[in-house]
Amino acid sequence: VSVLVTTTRYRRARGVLARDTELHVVLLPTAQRRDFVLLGGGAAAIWRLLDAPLTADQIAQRFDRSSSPEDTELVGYLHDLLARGVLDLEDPP
Amino acid sequence: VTGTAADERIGHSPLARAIASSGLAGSMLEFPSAPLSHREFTALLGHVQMQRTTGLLWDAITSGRLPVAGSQTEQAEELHLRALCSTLLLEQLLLDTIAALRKAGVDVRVLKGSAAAHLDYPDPSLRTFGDIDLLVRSDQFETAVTWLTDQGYTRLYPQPRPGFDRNFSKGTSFLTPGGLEIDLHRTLAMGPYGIRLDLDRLWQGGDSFTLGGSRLRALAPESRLLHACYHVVLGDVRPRLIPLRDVAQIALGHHLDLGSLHELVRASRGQAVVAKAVRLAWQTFALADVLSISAWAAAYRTDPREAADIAVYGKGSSYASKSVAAIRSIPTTRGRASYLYALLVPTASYLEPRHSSRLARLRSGWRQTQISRGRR
Repeated sequence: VSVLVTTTRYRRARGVLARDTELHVVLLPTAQRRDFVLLGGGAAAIWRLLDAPLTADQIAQRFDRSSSPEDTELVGYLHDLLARGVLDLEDPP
Repeated sequence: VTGTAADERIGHSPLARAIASSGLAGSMLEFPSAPLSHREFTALLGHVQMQRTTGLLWDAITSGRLPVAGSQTEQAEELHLRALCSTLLLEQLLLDTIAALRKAGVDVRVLKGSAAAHLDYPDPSLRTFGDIDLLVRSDQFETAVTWLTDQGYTRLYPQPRPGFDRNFSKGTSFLTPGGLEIDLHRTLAMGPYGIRLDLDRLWQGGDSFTLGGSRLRALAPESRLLHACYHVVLGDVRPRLIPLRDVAQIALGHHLDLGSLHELVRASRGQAVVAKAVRLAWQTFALADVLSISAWAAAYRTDPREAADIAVYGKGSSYASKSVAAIRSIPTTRGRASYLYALLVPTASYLEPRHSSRLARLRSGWRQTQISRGRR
């Protein structure tokens, strides 16, 4: 988990179509032909931050909170967004 | 959502126009100072849905221009999210269609909705749309039609005779099995204005935008303005607010190359249409700013021949009246003969869903043309 948190960078998955109402973000992951994903609150904020790839550490810092592996809420959001096909992991250099 | 006699001429109430002007620099339209009643707000929701201005209603609410009460914010967002979901499904179809047409060697430009959302508005969420519009070259039109038909998409209007599509038609429409609509354009209007359009100039230059990781091509802003103007004046008899907003948005939001715009408009003999659309957009949104294009439009004098051409698209217009009016815009005698032959002696597959016989079709066309003339 610590490797995932500190070095792996999260990014918006290719082919995801998006619209932002400022309260919610509605997404359609076209590559995997999945259903719409509606994000609000923290999940929508993560999506907006990932205009460029970031590690979980960097995301946590932007929210001014701990980046430790125990930050289960953030890691939970990220895993959920990965599972829904709207985020993926950037290949390590 | 009711208005005065002056509003009736424009076709939309002051409130509907104020909503559609949300965020548009220079608009003098005023919003109500207190929240609308439940009944008024429900009527407004119905109107913005029809006018495809849910994004602009949402912008008016979130910017604080339109005061709201109770659950009105939630109702407006829900309506807008639904429109955005439809928009995203259409953009998925757009990506699939363009990828496949490119594979088939067909050059494509995205028109109207998606191109306007991504290129002309500060946020694509402001501009929703109900179908996708693509422009293809005349000599590739049939390849595109064949490919779309092979996908299982249903062509809504067959061509009257082989060759009509690539030489004379505005384009055609397809329905996907999921009920989404693709409008395939060869030119930007039916009738004389579509025939006269300088297609070579229209294809010159252009902008591009990224959608789902793919780079898509659209027309240049000057051509997008021309198209929005044609949509306003030559489309619905009472133009919707969103194409009017497109006209204002493009004119106010881009540093247009006016020389290039005037060349395109002159070559297409579309001065009266562009002038009328710009005047109507300025009037609809009570725009205070005077731009070169709005000053030109205000000063432009439409001659009787132009007025007659535009009247073909007005109240009581029909496919037949526009088709008849197009004849004298076809540049060659051979072209005119071929056009008339296709319309007068269409194939049986074209006639079948419409008329019992060729004679019945001629009678119906003649009646429609006479009705249209009588109303001018």
